[in-house]
Amino acid sequence: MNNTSTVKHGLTLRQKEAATGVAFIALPLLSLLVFMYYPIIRSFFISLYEWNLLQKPTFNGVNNYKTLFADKVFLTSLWNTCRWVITYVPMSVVTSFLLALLLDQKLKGAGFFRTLYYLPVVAPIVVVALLWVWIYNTDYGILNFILEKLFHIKPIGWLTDARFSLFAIAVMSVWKWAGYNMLIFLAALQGIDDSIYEAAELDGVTPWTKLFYIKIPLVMPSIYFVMLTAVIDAFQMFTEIFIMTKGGPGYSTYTVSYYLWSCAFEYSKMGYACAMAAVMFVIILVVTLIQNKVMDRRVQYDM
Amino acid sequence: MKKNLKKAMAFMMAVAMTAGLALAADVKADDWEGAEKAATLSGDIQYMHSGDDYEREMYAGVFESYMKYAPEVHVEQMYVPSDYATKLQTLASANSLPDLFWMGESGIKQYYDAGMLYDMTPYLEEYPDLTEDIVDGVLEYGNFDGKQVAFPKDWTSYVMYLNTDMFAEAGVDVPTNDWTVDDYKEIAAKLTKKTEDGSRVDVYGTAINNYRADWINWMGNYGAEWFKDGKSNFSDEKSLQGLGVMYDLIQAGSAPSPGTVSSTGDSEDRLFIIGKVAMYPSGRWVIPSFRQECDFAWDAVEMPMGTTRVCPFICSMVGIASTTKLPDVAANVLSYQMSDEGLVQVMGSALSLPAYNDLMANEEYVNTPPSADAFINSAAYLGSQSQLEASQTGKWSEYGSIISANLSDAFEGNVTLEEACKAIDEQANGTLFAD
Repeated sequence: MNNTSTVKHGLTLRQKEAATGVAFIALPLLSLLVFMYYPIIRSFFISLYEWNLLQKPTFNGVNNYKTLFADKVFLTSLWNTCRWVITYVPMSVVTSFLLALLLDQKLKGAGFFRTLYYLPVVAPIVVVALLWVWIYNTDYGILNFILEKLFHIKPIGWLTDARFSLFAIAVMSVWKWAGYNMLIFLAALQGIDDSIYEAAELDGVTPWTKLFYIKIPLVMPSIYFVMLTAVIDAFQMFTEIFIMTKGGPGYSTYTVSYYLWSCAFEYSKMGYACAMAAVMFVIILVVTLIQNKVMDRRVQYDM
Repeated sequence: MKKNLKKAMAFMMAVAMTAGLALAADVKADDWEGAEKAATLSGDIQYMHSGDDYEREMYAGVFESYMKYAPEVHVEQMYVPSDYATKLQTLASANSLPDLFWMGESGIKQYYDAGMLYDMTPYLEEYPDLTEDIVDGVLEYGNFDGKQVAFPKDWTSYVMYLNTDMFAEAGVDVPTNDWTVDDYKEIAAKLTKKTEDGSRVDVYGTAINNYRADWINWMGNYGAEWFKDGKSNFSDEKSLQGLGVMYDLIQAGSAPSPGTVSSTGDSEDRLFIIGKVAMYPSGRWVIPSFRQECDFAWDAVEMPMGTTRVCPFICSMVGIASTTKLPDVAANVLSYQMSDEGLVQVMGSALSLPAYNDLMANEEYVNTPPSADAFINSAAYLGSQSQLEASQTGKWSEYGSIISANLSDAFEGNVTLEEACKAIDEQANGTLFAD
């Protein structure tokens, strides 16, 4: 018997530590199981039923899925969601990275700017959305005013013209969330050892070379993380649409999340909404795996 | 300034409520046919309703008065200020519906299909005053397979509110109830004012709502059967003619498109209040805020005549849950609420209209301003077969979204009205009403 690892009640030290560990993770794990995994699994089952919340669910097989792929509103929503991801994610990542690069300079008042750029992140989304609704106002919005005064461009219906509405909301979202990703990039940039820059400078590298051969490769884990979360978030975009356009004009800003919400809570088609959620789950999973595969090769974790 | 306005509003509401209670006390106790039975009843029941804080207080008053007749009954008021339909649905799915609850006139079917509504037909016989002299057609919206499963607690007319100061300023005669759609378009154009540099509209002659009451009203005013034989029929010539009124007003610049309004972060009724819209079609529910906030002279007339007139039926219906253990008490409470004594406590607010013809002409129930004629007259052409059929499909919510989405595309100029209506019919008939 090993005396050093035995305690009075018959538990080894390792067992006791394991029990403590389990006790610590038990609550979060339980929460995860009850509030995450169970609903996900349950929603897969519900997607096989027709259920209006008021009557007993009736088994419907894969009919919800068949209907889904013939539903023009769903297909439009899916297309809009993809457009959103393609528009929003690159804009968001590039903007955040540029802001982080700017703040990584030895600027006077960098702390002030950091706070300034981060402020929209802590502002409530409802307030931000309403603010931008006014900025985008066709007749009295400041954006159209500036465009008209400077470039003589006729007023544009940023939120009422189907050609611009999704893009306009994407710009607003970038403004709102850029500060968050900026902080992640900034932390990564500031984690790069100064000696690397010093060595590079001794070799006479240009700022561009420094950016492309030192900074970007070394913050790749952060880029990878930001891209991954931005794509996942973008696929689930809902709040901005709900507040600013309610999916309109027409179906031009309907996203899958918005249509899913409408089906579940406005049209009482819970089974159908769950089928939509399942499809989204699979799409996000596949995209994430592809991202993982493509980006993981480029990520360098060692400094 | 705002503080003073709030104080004034609070004071006026308090006066209105006190007046309501005083009027209620003035009605003789033996006028209410359920009084005798109320004294014999006992138990706790729940009554769930929506509305603003003012309505909450009004109904608290109604329940308090009721409990004086029924000292052994306790009515628990479940007031839900927002997201009412979802919360009601959640309670229903948890099999915890309150004994009495409100539903929109188009949301009854799903509760009926789920067997969640008590058949109150026998109570209509027990309390004959409930249906005596009731406005034509209002009961039908709560009647399924010959069973009365929901009761119209009130209704609201759809009328045109006018900023009469603007009419005077522009030298335009204030229209009377016999005006036509052509008059309306002409006046709207005259009252529309541009900014000094002429680049933007400063005051719109009128406004439209991309909302069921507007669609039903305008299509109805041209005799359209926009829902027929279980199918959407928006592409019908008369439907197009009716919706064309809304479309033309936007195209002519006499009304802002719904998107233009929402991009101000405001609503159409607010634009009327702040003097940016001269004529505004809406229900009676806007009156309390107009009375409090309009600092100009205003009035209301009937909606302009097309080839005929139809007033949309907009109402909250009261249902009794089939799971209630106290149906007698629930019916007794409903009977009190619908009695002259009960109604006088809620009609003073001018949020809605009583469902009884004799009360429509009574100033205590349909008070002024604005002129009561427009409201009283519209009871004669309330509702339509299309609205009744569509609301009883149980799919109105989704159908309404299809209509709203496609019409918004037309109103914003992205497609023509014909294209939008074709899309509505194809989408609705291809999915919702396919069988």
